[in-house]
Amino acid sequence: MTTKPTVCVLWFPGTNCHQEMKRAFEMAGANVQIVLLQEIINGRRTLTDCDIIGFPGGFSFGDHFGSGRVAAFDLVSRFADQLRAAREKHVLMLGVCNGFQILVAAGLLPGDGEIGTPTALLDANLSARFEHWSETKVVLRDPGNSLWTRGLDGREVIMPVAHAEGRLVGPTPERWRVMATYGTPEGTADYPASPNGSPIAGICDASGEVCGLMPHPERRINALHGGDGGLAIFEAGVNAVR
Amino acid sequence: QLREIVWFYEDQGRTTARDAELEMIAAAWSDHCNHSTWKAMGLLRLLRMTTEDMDHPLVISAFVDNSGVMKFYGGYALCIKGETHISPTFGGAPYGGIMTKHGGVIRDIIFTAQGAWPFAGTTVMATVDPHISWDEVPAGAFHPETVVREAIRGTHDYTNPMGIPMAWSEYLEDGRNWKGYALGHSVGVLPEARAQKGTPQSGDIVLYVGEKTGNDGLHGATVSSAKMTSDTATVDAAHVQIGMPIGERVFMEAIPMLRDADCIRACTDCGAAGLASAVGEMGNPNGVSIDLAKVPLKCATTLPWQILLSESQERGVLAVPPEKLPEAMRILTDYNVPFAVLGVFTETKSFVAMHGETVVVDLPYSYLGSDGPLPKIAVADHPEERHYQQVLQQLPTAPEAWMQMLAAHLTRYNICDQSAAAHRYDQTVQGNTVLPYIGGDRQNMPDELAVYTPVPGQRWGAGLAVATSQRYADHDPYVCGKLLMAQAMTRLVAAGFSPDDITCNVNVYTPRVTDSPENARRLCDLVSGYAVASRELHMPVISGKDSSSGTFMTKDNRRIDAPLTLTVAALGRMPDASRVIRKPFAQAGDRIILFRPGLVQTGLGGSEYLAAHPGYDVLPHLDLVALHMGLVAYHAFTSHKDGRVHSRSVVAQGGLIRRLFEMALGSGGLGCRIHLSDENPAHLLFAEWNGAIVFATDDDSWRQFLKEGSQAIEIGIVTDEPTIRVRQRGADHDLFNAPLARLADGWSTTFTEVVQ
Repeated sequence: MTTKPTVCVLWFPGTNCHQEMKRAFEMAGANVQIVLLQEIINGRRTLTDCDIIGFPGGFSFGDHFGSGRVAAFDLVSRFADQLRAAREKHVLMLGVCNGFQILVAAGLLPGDGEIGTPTALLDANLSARFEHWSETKVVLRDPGNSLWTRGLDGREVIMPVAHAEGRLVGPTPERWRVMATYGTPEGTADYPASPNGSPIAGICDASGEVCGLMPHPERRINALHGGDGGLAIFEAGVNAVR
Repeated sequence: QLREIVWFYEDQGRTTARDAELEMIAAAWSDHCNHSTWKAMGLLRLLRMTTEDMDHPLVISAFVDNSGVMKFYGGYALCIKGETHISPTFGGAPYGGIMTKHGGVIRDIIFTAQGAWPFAGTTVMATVDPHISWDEVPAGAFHPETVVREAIRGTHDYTNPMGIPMAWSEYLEDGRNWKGYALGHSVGVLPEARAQKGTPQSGDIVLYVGEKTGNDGLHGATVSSAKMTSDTATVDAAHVQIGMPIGERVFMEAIPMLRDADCIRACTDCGAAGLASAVGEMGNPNGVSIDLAKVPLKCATTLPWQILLSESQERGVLAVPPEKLPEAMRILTDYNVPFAVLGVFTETKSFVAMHGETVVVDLPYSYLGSDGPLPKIAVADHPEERHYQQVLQQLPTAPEAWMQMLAAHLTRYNICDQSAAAHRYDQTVQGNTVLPYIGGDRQNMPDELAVYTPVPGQRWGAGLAVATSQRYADHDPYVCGKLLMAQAMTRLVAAGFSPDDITCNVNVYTPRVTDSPENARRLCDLVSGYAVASRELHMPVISGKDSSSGTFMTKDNRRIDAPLTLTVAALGRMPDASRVIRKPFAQAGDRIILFRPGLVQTGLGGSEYLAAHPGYDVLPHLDLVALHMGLVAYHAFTSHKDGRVHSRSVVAQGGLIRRLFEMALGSGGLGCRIHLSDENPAHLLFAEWNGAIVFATDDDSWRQFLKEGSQAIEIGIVTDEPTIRVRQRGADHDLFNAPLARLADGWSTTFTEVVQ
């Protein structure tokens, strides 16, 4: 009998998309627990006791100093050893929206540097505003070994976007492994097809295990709520650790 | 009030009063906390009695808790509250005022019964037209553009971090809105078994939760109950707070956990008058004792009366059974919620607040819990009914002139594309959104309701529809009350909700009535109107709020009364949310039906059309009993086994032409051909019937269900051309054939240019 993969969905004060991320992973066949920051701080949980870590969307610590930065600082300064151990154990990571921002600010994505040393930035949208669009066309791509889009190369998924800082910038864009674009397979930066001025909606690291997305696949997991196109991403991740 | 206070102290044999006691009495008797204006006029009683008498099976609690509660499905309940936050927004700081508007109304939901989960919210603003020049702005008032831009910023900085989807945003204009309108709703879900307001028991712990207390927001309750002058923004600026949504979001998570762990016997949020009101109300009538020295402070030197009255945001009070305190503390710690034990609920029948060893307040509830002297409000008699001659401008004859008129109509601020604001609010967070309020092919079509499935994993739908007017009451407040109740309900029914499954929340904003018998009469008429409508439509009013201070005094002592404003928010339930009927035209060839049940008299009174064109006309009149019967028939039609309504809309502000335009625009390529009957085209295209549905279907059985002829007529067909083509019956040429792109041009500019 195979056991279900286990997922920890991390909660920081201000995280607000954890319940729907939990449901998406459950629908994809995983056992999911929401893990509160406090539980890691007091040692009741560690970042290595699961197969996948989900970093959900929201406004961790209010995002007043830049989206995801305080949460990333908290993670790196307190738990860099646990993060490294999790990476060595090949624990998969998925960051959505604020979760993506945390992964970038923590140096886990694009993944060409050290944990704690960011090499890119999810900068303010070109509109300088928070942008919400319920029906943004996102094209999934597999840059070679992305476990989160395996078998999904070229698939179009309509998903909501909801962020103020989603424009990926950095000194070495040629090294980024793009696994989702806005509008077309090459991606368009035109507003509002891209809400933020970047054609890139998501990237993964070189291992294909850590990935981040600005759009919200966890909000599109059944027909009643506008379609189930987002579910495939969670299924790909869960299947990869079965 | 002062005389009454002096008598009380003499009676008690006390020669001196404590400052905090006077502050507390002033707040408790203020219009904001005590609804003294409405109580004096008997309006609160009228509403309560109306809802009680109706004995509607869905009502769980009305007018007793922080929000009204109705039955949902499967052992769950829904709750709703609407709250205005006008004085801080227009008289203090719009950004802070709007943030705390949302913060406050969301807390009303979180602290309903033993705790609820907010799953949707709204924002409704009314200002003067933001396009006006600076010389038109009276001293002491903000430029309306500032108010609107700051209001949008305040809303997205609060509701997005809260992670609560926006279900409706609307920005209206009227030249009298110097002290304008700022309303927000919040809607929540909770278990039915925990849906009644709790009562603390003697020995229960008074547990403070949330952010620290500062000297911000002092006198919010009393300042907001007074009139706004050119000096309010500077003299009373401290009555506005700046919100900190993350401080509220953490207890939004924790409260349902505490509830389900039986840690909450009763709870309430700290809003106007802060701890004085929150602890004060919870302790009434049995008694409570707290130590203000235990309150977590932002500033160590805050005075005891300030601690008690501070309106610092993001705070609440729980009554925790003593044996549950350790578990409650563990849950709050896990969710990073600050807390403090302030004292205990007692049996002394009095409110006692200490600061260390010093008595700060010691007042019996027999006094504090009383209404205090209510104002004496004179109500003017009804003026003699005057009969005006209907005067309407000649309509254009040339198609080009028609198109210019239509384009100008759609650019009007109250009608135009406001999606530039809507796109700044998250409408899909929580993953439960079935129908967002902005939709259509290019995500710029305003819908007329929003629908969610608030219980994860279940298909039960909860729908919210909001109807507001600042114009109808100018003509006839009583009819205004009826029209808006009709509109709010019809919006839900048009989309597939049963008329039996709807309750509502009503907010009223009125200029000062204490010194204007005429205003008082208009308010009475308005409330009577919607109370009667509530009975006739079987839609109970379960919550609401009055705000009776809509008067701005300019520096040269000119009085500007805000328009008498009414907002009805209808909250409905449906067993399967996948049955929601969409708005945009869906397929060419569908017949377009105009269904106007209960329309007794049409008219352009109060319409956007008559606000732009000279003339006079009456308000439309509806027979609400007939409307209700019609809505029941429509619901039977939409839910019969072959029922196929593909598109729907409710004719309200802006008239039928606005709705046809929106339904076509949202379709992404379809249009319509309309044949007008013999009625005056101005009435048909621009009248705001409020209880009429326009829908498109290929199901011919509407003729039987809806009694074709008297109230339901076929008016046209959906075409695959993106134009609106209108012809009068029997005519050999079109009145106009307007391309959507041309109409959309100005429509999409008016609001966008203000906010971007």
